[in-house]
Amino acid sequence: MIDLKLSDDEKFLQESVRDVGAKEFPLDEGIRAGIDGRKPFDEARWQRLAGLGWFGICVPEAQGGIGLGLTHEMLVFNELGKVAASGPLVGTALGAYVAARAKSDEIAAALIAGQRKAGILVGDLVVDAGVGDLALRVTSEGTELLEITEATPVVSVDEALAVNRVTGTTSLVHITDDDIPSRLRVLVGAYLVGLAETTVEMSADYAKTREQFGKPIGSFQAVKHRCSEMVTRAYTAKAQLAVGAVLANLAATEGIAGSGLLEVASGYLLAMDAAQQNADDNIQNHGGIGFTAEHPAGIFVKRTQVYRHLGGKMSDLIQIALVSPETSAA
Amino acid sequence: MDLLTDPTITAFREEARTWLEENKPTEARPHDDQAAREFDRAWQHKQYEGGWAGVAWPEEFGGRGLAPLQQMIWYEEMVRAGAPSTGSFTVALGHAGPTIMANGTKEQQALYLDRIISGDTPWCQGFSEPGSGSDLASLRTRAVIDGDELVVNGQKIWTSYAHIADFQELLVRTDPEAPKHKGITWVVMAMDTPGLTVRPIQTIDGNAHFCECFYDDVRIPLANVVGGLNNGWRTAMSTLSFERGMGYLQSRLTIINEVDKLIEEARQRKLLENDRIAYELAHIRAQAVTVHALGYDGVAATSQPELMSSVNQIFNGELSKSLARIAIEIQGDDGLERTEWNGRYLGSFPATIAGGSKDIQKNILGERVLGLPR
Ligand SMILES: Cc1cc2nc3c(=O)[nH]c(=O)nc-3n(C[C@H](O)[C@H](O)[C@H](O)COP(=O)(O)OP(=O)(O)OC[C@H]3O[C@@H](n4cnc5c(N)ncnc54)[C@H](O)[C@@H]3O)c2cc1C
Repeated sequence: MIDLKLSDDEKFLQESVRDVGAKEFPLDEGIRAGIDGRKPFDEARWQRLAGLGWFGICVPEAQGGIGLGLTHEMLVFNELGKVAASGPLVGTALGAYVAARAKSDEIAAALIAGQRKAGILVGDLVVDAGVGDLALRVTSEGTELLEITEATPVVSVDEALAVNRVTGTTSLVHITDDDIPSRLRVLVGAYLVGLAETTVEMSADYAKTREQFGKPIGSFQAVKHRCSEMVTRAYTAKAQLAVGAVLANLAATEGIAGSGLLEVASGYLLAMDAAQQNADDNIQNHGGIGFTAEHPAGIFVKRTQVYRHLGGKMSDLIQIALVSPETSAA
Repeated sequence: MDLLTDPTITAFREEARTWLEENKPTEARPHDDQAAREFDRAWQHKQYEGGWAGVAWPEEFGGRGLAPLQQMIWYEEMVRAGAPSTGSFTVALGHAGPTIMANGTKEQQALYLDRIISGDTPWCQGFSEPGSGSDLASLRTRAVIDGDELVVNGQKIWTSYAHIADFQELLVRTDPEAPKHKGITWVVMAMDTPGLTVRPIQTIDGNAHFCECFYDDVRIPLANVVGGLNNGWRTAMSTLSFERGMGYLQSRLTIINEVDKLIEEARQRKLLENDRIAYELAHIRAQAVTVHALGYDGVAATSQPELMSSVNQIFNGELSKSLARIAIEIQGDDGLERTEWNGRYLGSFPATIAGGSKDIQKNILGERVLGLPR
């Protein structure tokens, strides 16, 4: 049996991230990026986030982190997804954790303090990191933290995030701990669930106020049911990912190998689907306005098209979902 | 039901194929809309000179006066040749032209139709408003008669190609007291009329093909009213059913070319060995082929028009979106970079919104075709 009720400190963390997230990441930023192009990376904001400890949530206190569990970190990234926060958030937080595991305390400290940042490598593409930054490569064989020495920008599918093609790296840290892919999927999945949740809210709000044929469009079953399907997707993905986070955390705290592998991959697969299908339905619910660059609906479409690639290779996910046993939660 | 082997039909197809081989533009349609306008005009004009513009338009209006069957064959050959579609002439050829043919006076027909078919004047469709999309009949853009003119005030939105069109088919409210369908007028507006402001709107795929139109005491001659004052709803509906039926056929048929390109991409990525992807592509190709059948069905025109047009709208809309969704699965992690395929995905959402959303089409099927209670 798994208790999914938030503890007081989990609740407190969630609320504080929610407040800061809304202030630091107004949706307008994503809209402006789509229309005018991306602004230079906001270093001052990155420092403020680092100051809140968000990049060291799971790093032990002795190594400069906050020493909380994966469920806490999941809540942080869920809130960041809700506001479609930009920047190499997952890579930096997980990178710090990986460095700490490898006892590379200096690198961990630099990431936690916001002095360095780490993007996630997908093939040879990296998101929101360039030359001089770090890149995290997570595979089923092992996890590597690299320094980027050579990279060229490519046109990103999401204008608010920078994508670079990496052509040169130096390896800094390498570990083979097999729970890292699950931790990555929890964080990316939580962000995707956050995206999916905000689209539910946007659609429901709009369906209550937009009138056609003399009624709010939410009174038409087509729209009402679409909104209901959206909330079902987000809700189920969130529950499954939470179970996964609880179990995957046991790999670190109790040394239970493979704990939560299937549960996390399942939550992640649901989260990918929820984010993508909800982003699509959200535009449908908005009609013409949802397709314009001046409306935030498009941000959720594009952000999903980046984040759905960050949680590891599809073939790995499929393999886990097909054959991994359920983790005993007795 | 039978295969048509009439030699005149075969000969027509041969003739079309040869002409297209020799005359289709070899350069791509420009991305810039002003340049695209000139490209569309030149291509339409070339078809006109060659006798291929308006295959099914009556001869008296400059067309070839052939049956919808030949029109369909012409479209098939256009798609086969990979020739550009109607682009900024879609409204002119697809709705404005047919509306004027069906409802216009001799003078109006003489004034507008020749300049459409010869590739001179692109048109746009000023129907939707910020407050009136699905419920089009609630439109509020107001027109007051002053002497022999209409004075228009209000706003339209989502007007595709308004910034490069020469004329607009415009729906205005001329009788605010009448029931909502009875106080609307269909009128032709020249896009250089004083008082009109056009502002392109950027979309999530980075394009800006549609616009807002603001009308500030825009004066339009009463002589531009087509189909009679306060009769605009009926006039407009004659175009809309065309738009939803045969009107989009050419662009709908082109999907097979995209499907084949995607299958080739999947082959190169060795993904056809994956049964799920292979099945999805097979299913998509089956649907793309069915677009043909629906075209023949449109030519036969034996079904209730609402059934035909709404089924087409839903089927083609979902097909176009499925293709884009499968494309992003096939390109996988390469999709972090903006590619032709994820650009196609970002641009796919209007397929179930524009021209009457899929929800509205389903209401039509349920209520007007199947007789379900409202
Ligand atoms: C790319 C593009 C090009 C366009 N080009 C043109 C053009 O050239 N000229 C022009 O005049 N218009 C054009 N349109 C506008 C288009 O016709 C409208 O967007 C469409 O009719 C929907 O209206 P709306 O955007 O106001 O959405 P709304 O009508 O507000 O609909 C919002 C949501 O509510 C749903 N809904 C509304 N009523 C009902 C109901 N009764 N039952 C169930 N669901 C309902 C809709 O399906 C939709 O999901 C274009 C739109 C797009 C996206």
